[in-house]
Amino acid sequence: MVYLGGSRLKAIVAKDISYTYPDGTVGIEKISLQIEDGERVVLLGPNGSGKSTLIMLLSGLISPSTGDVEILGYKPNKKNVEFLRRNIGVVFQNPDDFLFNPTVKEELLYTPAQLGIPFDEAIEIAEKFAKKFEIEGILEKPPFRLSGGEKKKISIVCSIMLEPRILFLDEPTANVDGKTRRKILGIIEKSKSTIITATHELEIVPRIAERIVLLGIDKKIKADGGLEILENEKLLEEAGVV
Amino acid sequence: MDLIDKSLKEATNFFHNFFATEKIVYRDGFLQKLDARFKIPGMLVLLILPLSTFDPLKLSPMFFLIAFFILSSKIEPKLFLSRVWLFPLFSFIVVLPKAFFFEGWGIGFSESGLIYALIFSMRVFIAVSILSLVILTTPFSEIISTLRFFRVPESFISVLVLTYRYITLTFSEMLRILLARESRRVKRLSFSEVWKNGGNALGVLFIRILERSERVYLSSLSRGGFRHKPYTFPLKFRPIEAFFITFVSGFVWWFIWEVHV
Repeated sequence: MVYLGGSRLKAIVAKDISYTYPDGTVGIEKISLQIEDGERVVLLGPNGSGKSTLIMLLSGLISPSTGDVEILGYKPNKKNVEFLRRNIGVVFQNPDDFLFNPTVKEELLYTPAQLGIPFDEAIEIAEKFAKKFEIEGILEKPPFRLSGGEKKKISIVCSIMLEPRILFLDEPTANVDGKTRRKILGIIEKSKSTIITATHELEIVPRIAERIVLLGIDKKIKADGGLEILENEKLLEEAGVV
Repeated sequence: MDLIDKSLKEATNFFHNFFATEKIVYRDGFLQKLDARFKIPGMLVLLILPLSTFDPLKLSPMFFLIAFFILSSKIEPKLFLSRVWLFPLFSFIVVLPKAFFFEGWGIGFSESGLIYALIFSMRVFIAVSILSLVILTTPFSEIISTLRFFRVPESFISVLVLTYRYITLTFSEMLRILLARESRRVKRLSFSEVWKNGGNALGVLFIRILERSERVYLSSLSRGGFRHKPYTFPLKFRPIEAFFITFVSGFVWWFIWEVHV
């Protein structure tokens, strides 16, 4: 495990990471970041600033073209992939990318099955979360027949039901109605995990973050600090957020 | 809306619905109650049987068998037929030329060729119906679980899971493209424009599928793995499974005996 600064465990350490897509498009450029265990961070930036790419890199789903990423003290590789997947939840921006099983019930049981969690235990967890998030009535439905808000809710439930130590949320409140939005924000507020949320919606930031990493359209970090960043209109304007 | 778009939209809807069986799969019916590890091999045997004969008298009892399964499994006959009609019709059209032959400068008609085409389509109908019954009454995870139970190679199962996963993705993407095109069309297109636009749409479809499939792959990785590992349950052997085995064995014995006598 990596302890920096002497106290809290570093959940994520990224050193000079860059990512270039196979077609030559730059995803992010030379980003260094340290996120402590239990911290709530918002990756704030305009469309195309590399927030989603950064989430993929910090969650270990893709490897950086240059630089290094350490998650919970481990460099992602084949040997520790199971440990990392057990401890990391990722909610994708588009729930259609995330939900690929024939029914909602099978979606809920997918990750527990992959991680070898006994069936009875998995069913118990799935039922508990289905009740909590009021999705009991749609358990036998295929996900592609659900509304956008329901899909988003299901993908969040799938990611948090095993209570991961680190939770990544990519635009969690985009394209959802007010009720679902309140529910999602409530989940984030109550969660004890380290939460990294990518968003361009300024109004939700104070509810879900204690730290803001501001990304600019040049795919670099413009600012990294507390909620006071939200009051710096000039900086936000430069970054393209407002 | 032109013919190509309309056909593509219909085909997309048809295949999309073919794999969406949530209404029936959890009903309290005969086939639904069976343990998939007895049901799938049994149905596979029944699927192979009609392929061994061209005799309509030996094939016709299969229709009664299918009707029995449809009714006992609480499947609406209309819904069932709407899922399977296209396949025998398509095969009939493909085989129909066998009923015609060149006679000097004209075209002759062969009754035996027509009978062949009809029986061929009958066999296709039976095979597709049995396959459809399995899909309609068995959750996908149970089908995969059964294949694992019978030690089917992992690579085959992975291909099956991927095909299933991406088939929905492909059709939903195609439907989205078609609807977007339709919403932005302001004039009737000429024949050449229809083909040109169709080609463009197909190109866009491939690019979008490729991009989405990468995201789906990453999401499956984020959820613990790429290879699908469904839950497996203790084998159930109850009176219903015993009845099914006896029923299928009796039918097979009768069919083989009928074929050879």
